[in-house]
Amino acid sequence: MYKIFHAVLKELRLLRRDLLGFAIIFLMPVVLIITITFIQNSVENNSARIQLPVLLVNLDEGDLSKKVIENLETNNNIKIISEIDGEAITENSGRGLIAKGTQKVLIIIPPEFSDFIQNQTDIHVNRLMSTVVPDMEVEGDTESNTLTKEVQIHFDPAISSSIKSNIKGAIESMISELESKAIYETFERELDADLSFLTEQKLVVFKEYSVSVNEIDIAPTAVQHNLPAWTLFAIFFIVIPLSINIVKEKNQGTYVRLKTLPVSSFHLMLSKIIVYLLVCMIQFYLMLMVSVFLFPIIGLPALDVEGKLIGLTVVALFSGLAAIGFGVLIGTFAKTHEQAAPFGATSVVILAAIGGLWFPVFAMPETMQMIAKVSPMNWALEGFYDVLLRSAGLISLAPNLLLLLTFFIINITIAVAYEKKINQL
Amino acid sequence: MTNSVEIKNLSLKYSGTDFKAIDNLNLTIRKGEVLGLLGPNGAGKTSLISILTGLIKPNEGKVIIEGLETSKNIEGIRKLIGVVPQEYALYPKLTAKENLMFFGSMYGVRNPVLKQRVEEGIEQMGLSKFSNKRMDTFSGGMKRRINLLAGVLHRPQVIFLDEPTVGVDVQSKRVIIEYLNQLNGVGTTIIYSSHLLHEAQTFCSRVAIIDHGVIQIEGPTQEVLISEGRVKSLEEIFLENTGKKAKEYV
Repeated sequence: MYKIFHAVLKELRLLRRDLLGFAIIFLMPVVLIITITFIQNSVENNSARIQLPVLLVNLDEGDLSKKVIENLETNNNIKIISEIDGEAITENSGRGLIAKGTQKVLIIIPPEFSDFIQNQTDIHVNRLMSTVVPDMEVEGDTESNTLTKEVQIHFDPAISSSIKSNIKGAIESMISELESKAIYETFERELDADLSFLTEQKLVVFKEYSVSVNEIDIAPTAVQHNLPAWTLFAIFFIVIPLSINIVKEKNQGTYVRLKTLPVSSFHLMLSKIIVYLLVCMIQFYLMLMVSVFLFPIIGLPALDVEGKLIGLTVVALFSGLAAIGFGVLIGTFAKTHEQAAPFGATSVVILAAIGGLWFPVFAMPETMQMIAKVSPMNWALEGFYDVLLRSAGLISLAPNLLLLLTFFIINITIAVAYEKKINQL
Repeated sequence: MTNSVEIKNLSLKYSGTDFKAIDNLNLTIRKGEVLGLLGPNGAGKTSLISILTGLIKPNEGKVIIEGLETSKNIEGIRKLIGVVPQEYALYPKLTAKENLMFFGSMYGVRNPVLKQRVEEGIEQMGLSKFSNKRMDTFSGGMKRRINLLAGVLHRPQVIFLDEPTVGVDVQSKRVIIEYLNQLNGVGTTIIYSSHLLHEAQTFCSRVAIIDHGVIQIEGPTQEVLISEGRVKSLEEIFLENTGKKAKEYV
């Protein structure tokens, strides 16, 4: 213990003497979480207000296309534009604007769109009526045909696939609703009955619930999603200063003396583990304090940590251990600063990507989902989400914590074994 | 007088080469002796010290230090030896005192003894005014003095010094040699490698000239200096034993 105490003291002093490095270690994660949360929160808030300009060319003269346009105009996220500078948009001018990237979306409603829908509806209804009421005298054509009418949607290639899906989905759902309405109206006409109740009453409604382990309903905020991801990112970035610290010591004369001291590699390593774990925890609490106290002051949603502080601390502690284990391993194997720094940085970014810090794991290809399951950042992220969003207790956290601890032990064991091998007499 | 260090049939060949850095070397150093390990560059001095201090494993032979065999009890030996490497083995961002407190504590020396030894050592080295200054503000000579202190705070029975006075001013050299003489005066065995033959001639009670990993000549300094019926300088003896080959290592 005596030797470890003095080795810890030495590491703390070395860290304190590098003021710039010290500031970077603690300030950068704070700057990171403020910046990311601020941007993400702004995007989320603004997404409700942002209106996507959509060019519309209506070549139909019927009522149904007018209804389509009316419905599109009621959509708060879309702004319908039919003319620019007093000139009506044509098929060609619209396509030209999309091709240049000046405009993002163009919808072209084909000629005789309304007549086509009405005719097709009549055909389907008449056919159905003649089947259900054989004696009934039905007017009009009963022969169904497979003709379709094409509503063209042109997109700027630079537009994101999610916006494309949203626009396509909104139009498809709207047209489908109009088709249903047309069918009901045809039935009403044929049967001479009032069927308006069928369209006025919604049979299914949707309501969003958040499910937690303790059955406490929590509405997740951007901060609750952001804090774990960026905290983990910052914690794992400890890999870089730690591995550089180890490499630097190896390349100094002190390494020769350290190897001749009556103290094991593990004891010396332990002092680094203790100090850097302390750094990780300070980073974590700083980010937590920023999320709880600073965010509401700068207009961001505050993080609610009531009843979750112990759980969050435990997850941060085990995440720190996993990160330190990885850093020690890199520092042990790397021979130069040039090897340790880029490898450390790149591997942390890769681990973050496959761990689901930037993109949800469920959205990844199956192989990547399998890889994500063996990523320490994923275990840690799930641990944080368990505490923050699912109100999980320590027992529920145990599997992920155990995985993080195992990762730490494996890394340290390999590092100690390697050190022992190269120092073996 | 009992033996402090016994080297028996020691050989070392670095992997990937046929060159033998140490070739079947035998040497005995008695307790309280100051052995000067001399030789041209690449002769095998640093390799030998690395083996003796447990940094490198030899291919053949054995080393016994204070009755303990290095291959069997290196942990026990590390408590008995002090190592002063040629490089400044100190943390540049720590003060002289902080460096010494750290290395002393790693040898298991506890307070208040450690604190007392650090303060006394710094005073003996004439650096009391600088004890709380960072090492990166020290001159080469000042660093050498602290480098020496860091290896002897636990009062080792055997000290290994690799070029302890290389590149330092006369004042620092004198302080270092005086301090080493003082340690030797209380029975500490000193094994010292150097290129400074004049210094070795006056400081060492015994010398061993090594070349091509083999001891060329070895014995009490005064006996080694007598050759062909007359007293020669250590430089003459050195050149006679290594001179023709020395150019190969330049």
